Amino acid sequence: MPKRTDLKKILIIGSGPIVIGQACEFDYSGVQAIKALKKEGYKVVLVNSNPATIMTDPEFADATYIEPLVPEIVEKIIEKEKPDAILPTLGGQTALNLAVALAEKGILAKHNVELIGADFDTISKAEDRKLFKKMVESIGLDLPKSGYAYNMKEAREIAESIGFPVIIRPSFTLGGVGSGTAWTKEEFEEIVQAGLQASPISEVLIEESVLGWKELEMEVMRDRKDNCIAICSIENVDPMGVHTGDSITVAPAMTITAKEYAKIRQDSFRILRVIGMRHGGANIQFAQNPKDGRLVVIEMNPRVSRSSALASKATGLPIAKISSLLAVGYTLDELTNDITAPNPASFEPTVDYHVIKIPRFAFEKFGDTNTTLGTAMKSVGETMALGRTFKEALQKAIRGLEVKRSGYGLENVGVDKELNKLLESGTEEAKKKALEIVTAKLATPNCDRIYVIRYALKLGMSVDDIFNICKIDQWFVNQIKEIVDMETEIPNIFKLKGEDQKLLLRRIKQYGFSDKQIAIATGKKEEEIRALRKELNIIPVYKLVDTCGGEFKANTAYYYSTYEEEDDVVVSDKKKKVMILGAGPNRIGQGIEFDYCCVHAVLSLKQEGYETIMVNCNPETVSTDYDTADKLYFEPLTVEDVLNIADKEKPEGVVVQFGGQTPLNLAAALNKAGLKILGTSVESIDMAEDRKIFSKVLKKLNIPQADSGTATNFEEAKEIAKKIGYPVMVRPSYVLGGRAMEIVYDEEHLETYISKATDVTEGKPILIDKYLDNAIEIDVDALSDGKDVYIAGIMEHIEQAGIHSGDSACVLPTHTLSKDVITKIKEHTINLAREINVKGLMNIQYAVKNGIPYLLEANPRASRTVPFVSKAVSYPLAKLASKVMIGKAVKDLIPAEYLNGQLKHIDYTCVKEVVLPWIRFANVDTVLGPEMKSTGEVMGIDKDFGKAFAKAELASGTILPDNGTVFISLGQRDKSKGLEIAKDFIDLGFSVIATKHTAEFFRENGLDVKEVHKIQEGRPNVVDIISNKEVCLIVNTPSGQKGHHDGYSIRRTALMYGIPLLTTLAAARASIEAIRAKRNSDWEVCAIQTHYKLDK
Amino acid sequence: MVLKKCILVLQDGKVFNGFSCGADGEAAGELVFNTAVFGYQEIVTDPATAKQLICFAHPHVGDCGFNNEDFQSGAVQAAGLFFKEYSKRYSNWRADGSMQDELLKENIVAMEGFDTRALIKYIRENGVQKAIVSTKDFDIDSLKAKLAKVEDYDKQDIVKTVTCSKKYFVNEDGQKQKIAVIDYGCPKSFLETFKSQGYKVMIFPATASTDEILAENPKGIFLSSGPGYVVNSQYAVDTIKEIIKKCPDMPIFAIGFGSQVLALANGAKVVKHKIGHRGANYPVRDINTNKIAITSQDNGYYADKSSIENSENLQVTHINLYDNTVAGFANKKGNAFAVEFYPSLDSDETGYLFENFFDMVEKNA
Repeated sequence: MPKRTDLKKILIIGSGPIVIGQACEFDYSGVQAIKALKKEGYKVVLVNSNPATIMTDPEFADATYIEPLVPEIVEKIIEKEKPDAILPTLGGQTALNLAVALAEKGILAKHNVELIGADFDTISKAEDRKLFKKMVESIGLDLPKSGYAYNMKEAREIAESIGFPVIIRPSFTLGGVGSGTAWTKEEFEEIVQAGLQASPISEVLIEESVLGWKELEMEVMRDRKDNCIAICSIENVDPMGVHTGDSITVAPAMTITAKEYAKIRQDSFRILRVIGMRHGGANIQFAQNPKDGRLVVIEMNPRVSRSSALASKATGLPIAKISSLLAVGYTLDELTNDITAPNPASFEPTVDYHVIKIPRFAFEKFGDTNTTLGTAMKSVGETMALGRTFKEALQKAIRGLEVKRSGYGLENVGVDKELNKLLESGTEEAKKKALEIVTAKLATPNCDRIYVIRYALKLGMSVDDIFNICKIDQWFVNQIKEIVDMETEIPNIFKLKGEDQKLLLRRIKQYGFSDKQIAIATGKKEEEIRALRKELNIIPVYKLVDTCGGEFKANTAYYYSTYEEEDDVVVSDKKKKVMILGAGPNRIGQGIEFDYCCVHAVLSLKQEGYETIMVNCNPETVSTDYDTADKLYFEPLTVEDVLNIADKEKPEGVVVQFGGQTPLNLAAALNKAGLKILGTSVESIDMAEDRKIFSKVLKKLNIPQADSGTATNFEEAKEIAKKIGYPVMVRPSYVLGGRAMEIVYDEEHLETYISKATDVTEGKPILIDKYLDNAIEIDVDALSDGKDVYIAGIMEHIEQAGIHSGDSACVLPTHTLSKDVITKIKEHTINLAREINVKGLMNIQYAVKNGIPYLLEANPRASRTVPFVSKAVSYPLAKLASKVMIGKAVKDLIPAEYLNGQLKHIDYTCVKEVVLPWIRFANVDTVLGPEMKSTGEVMGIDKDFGKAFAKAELASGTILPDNGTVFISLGQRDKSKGLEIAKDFIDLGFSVIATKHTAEFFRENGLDVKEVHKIQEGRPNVVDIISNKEVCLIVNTPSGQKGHHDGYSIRRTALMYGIPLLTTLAAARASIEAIRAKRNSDWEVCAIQTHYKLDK
Repeated sequence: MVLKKCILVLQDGKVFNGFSCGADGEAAGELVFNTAVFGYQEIVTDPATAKQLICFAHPHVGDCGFNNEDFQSGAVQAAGLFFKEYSKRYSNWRADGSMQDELLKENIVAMEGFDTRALIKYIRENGVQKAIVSTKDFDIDSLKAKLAKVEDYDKQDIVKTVTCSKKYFVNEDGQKQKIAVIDYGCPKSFLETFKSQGYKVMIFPATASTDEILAENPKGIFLSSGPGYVVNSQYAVDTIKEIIKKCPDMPIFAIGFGSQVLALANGAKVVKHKIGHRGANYPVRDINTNKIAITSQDNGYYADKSSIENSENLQVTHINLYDNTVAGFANKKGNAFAVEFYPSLDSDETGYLFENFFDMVEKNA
């Protein structure tokens, strides 16, 4: 059956902003889909609100709508574009939910648009747990015992019939939000209540606990002719009870036999059939009781997923691409397996390596939250590693995680610190204490558990003991034991000579140990181990990921390292060859924006005739697609791993500007080892990073800077703070995303900060800056070759300076700055870029106070805002920067009129808004501050600020109300400025309520404002009226460190009940403009290609 | 860390060094590789792997141990085994013991800790060949000399070494018809399939005569899979030829080696693959339904396509989509049919082959 010719135009729905549970993987799948469908001659329309994606680059889809992913907006796009079909299976849960909404609202029928990939019926059967259960039972498969409840009473009855513990899962929520395990009646009541709330249809599933069972996943595909293939099996190292996104997982499954595999494979196909998945891919999860082998079906995702992205990277098979082609009518045998072409895609990949994925968490950013892992996902990113064995892959994965560990064990970090201390002391008491900690950490799932197994072994626990406590399969525990056993052999390296030494060191490397770990265990330097290795010719070889276990010749160049005999890499003798270092696992502060830049670097340098070599270890990304760069090395981003590749490939240079802080941190060591850093030099990078040198540069250039100082202890800090005056902004040096950054208002607070901060810096100084109160923050992205500077964008933040730039909404062009201020900003930017000789991109942040722009910081690298600016002004900054880095002049890339000052005019306004993960972290206050907490961003484009802001809010999930009651609660500092805001709301027809003092203040100023009780003032209080949804919008600015309990309760309650909450006056002002703009006209949509055309 | 050395020497002189993870000793055979991720126990106990040295592409082997149910015969059949890494600890709820214990018990040499991908790529490029593995002799010339004395795999009648010594009954009290199984090295799971469906199963040695077989009055005949090159087992071919002549309507279902017997019995040719089909991911198209099954195979030989297309009696029914070789054929009447892969009654993809066979058996009653 060839492709369908009745379809001409297909609308693809993206997944929107990066949130926990939905990250770069959907950009990766979307890009594959767009490329594949376009190649087949279809017109492709894309809607996605996330500008930091490759898929929204104007050259991919025929028409790209960076618009909110809501039915009323998508209907407008449908009206305009008249697509024949919508492909909703590539944009995660967001796209599926949107497809369901479009179908349910009759929009699809009205416009005669077909759902392809998965139709409404299929989505309903797979997503509605009740229907799913019925369908799965109808084909004779087993599921955990369960029942549905719509209220507490029903819930209690079901729990009684099953018995505790039970799992509670709300229907139709993303990434398992609101789900949890209840061991007691009290926990049960709490989780069910929250779950009923979180579910859009107030429905929860109460299920038999399969806690501690083996968790297995299958990635499967089916075509129109009912041909089915299994791409990959995945086994979770963390057993059932931990969300698969938070679990360490391996591929293929290791502890099931052929019989069991055959069963889950066939069950998966049967589920595809009964659910009606006619053409496309799905992920199906199973649980198996390790005692008796009882196998139950857990769930199915009728779409590409995080797991399918992982399976694609793990096997080499492009699932999203094949899924898209199946959706337009092809069958598997009509498609080729690109890797082993001419072999068909109707086959099952096999692997001759082992794959491990480890999630990356961000608990350190959410201090008060519970770090126990459960059924709701909390991790913000992941890394994957390939090795020839589990042990090698595990150590590489840990190294790739960038958590200050260069492998399993030996480094004194995190949980190891305390345990090492106890073990070193050697007393019985210490040992007992250590055992207690270890047992507790093993018993409850948490992100340290894997590292604690090492101590459990050292304390004498057996593999079975450990299994009995944590239910991590004995096979995995024993593999870890083999690593720990080998660790004790490491010191022998220098006791041996000749062949024996070589043999031992080689085996140690085969177990995945890094040079750094070996250095620690032998008391040598990492460089010495590297030198010894090279002397003994113990260097890694690179093996190919080929989908076939070596049976066929492969056409792709996707490699991983191992310590074996034969190398699969063919090194070209091309002179023009560059290595591009990626950004590693996503984390808060370093996400998809940097992968976007890396991909642009690859595309641009390819265009310039270079052979491009990508190094990265994040399986979600476009950069790690096998056909992005000429060669892909799926390796951790460490000095050792990168130098090994460089030794082999001998590139002309390496690009470190685009992968965020990760490659930048390696730059000095790579440079020292003789690798040429392309673009801005290491010296220039240092100039911007070193506070003292940088201050001198700014003085020389007459660029104002807030008073500041550097301290290494409390006394020094106290002195500096006194000198420059409170409030001050304090932070450790060399950090990303404002980690551990705080605004400090007094000495007491400063002391608390310093005592906490030692952990973050370890001997590195603490930076203290004068905090510029109520200043406007500005972000500038510029491109420079050291001579000419192109200022691509000056963005004005909505939130005031002091809120991390990554958490602040911003607008381009600026809308309140005077011409003078803009001129000064331009001057400073140009002077600084020239002075530190920036070759490539630079981002500068300013705070404007009283008409003076103070320079806050400058980063000579790609910034988080590069994709946003690129899309706003229609110049691909990262691509241009790449060309500068290989020696092109800015004046040859940018029209002369825009050089050294003149901004490119755009006829529309672009607003960037952020999304925050509060809902994932219980008990965390939702206020913004200098430490970044957001996971992703959206872009709103429209004619004026109000409309663009309204779109950005809508896209970020905030539905601004048009009428109702606004509750205003202000911190002392904000009272007078809040008056104007209250007045505006009243003018717009809203009623305003406030707590006593604010209400009194408003009334004194002539506003009609009702009063509401604070929490301790009796009931109904403010929390009650929020819970009753009697307010439609909340403006709540924090009142400082102390006595903010009410504020906290208000913010958490608003979050729970989904009521829009504005925590800054600036955001409130912007929202008022948005509400006003929205009232004046209906939504309008416009493809970015059209925006650009009109602009020219 | 005590590592015991082990060496593999190929007929063409190529050498691989690793460490022993099986019994001490020496073994020679045809060196092949298998790309299946799951099912090492079934593979190494399948008589089709007799006299073979098998290198597994999947790096971890032994992870699920061995269990009493999954043996495809009474013992490990392969002559020697090669892994990237043997799992010292196994884990699976059905496991009854470790793979290593079984290897030691049965004196099977196994080697690990070397670049198995390099070996597989070597076989891919140079074809399968004889090789010798040793844990006690590390003199390459000496090993080569020993290897030279080992008879070529292609010239041996290996079936005779794995077939049962005399006929026997399984499920004698079965409610359904009697099926004759010709045991060229029949994996246990096929017998269990027949039994599970209520058939009486009479298993015959490969050397059984036509009369012996027909005397039992079977309603269908199953030609099992097995090891080696069929041309060395002409007696088996002659028997089937005679059966076809005497009972042209007899339902015959043949697998692997059995299919090669059926091919020769019908005048087609059987040729050798350069590297063989050994793994669990071979796509096969059924020409009649156009549907694709992902199949497990363990073949070094196949029925030549043109010889089937040109034969009077046969037609191609299944094609291997990797290399377009014949994966199945049938006689034109349709009562005798063969596949190169291992079907399973429980499988939605290949179960229909058994069902067809059973239908014919019932109709033949």
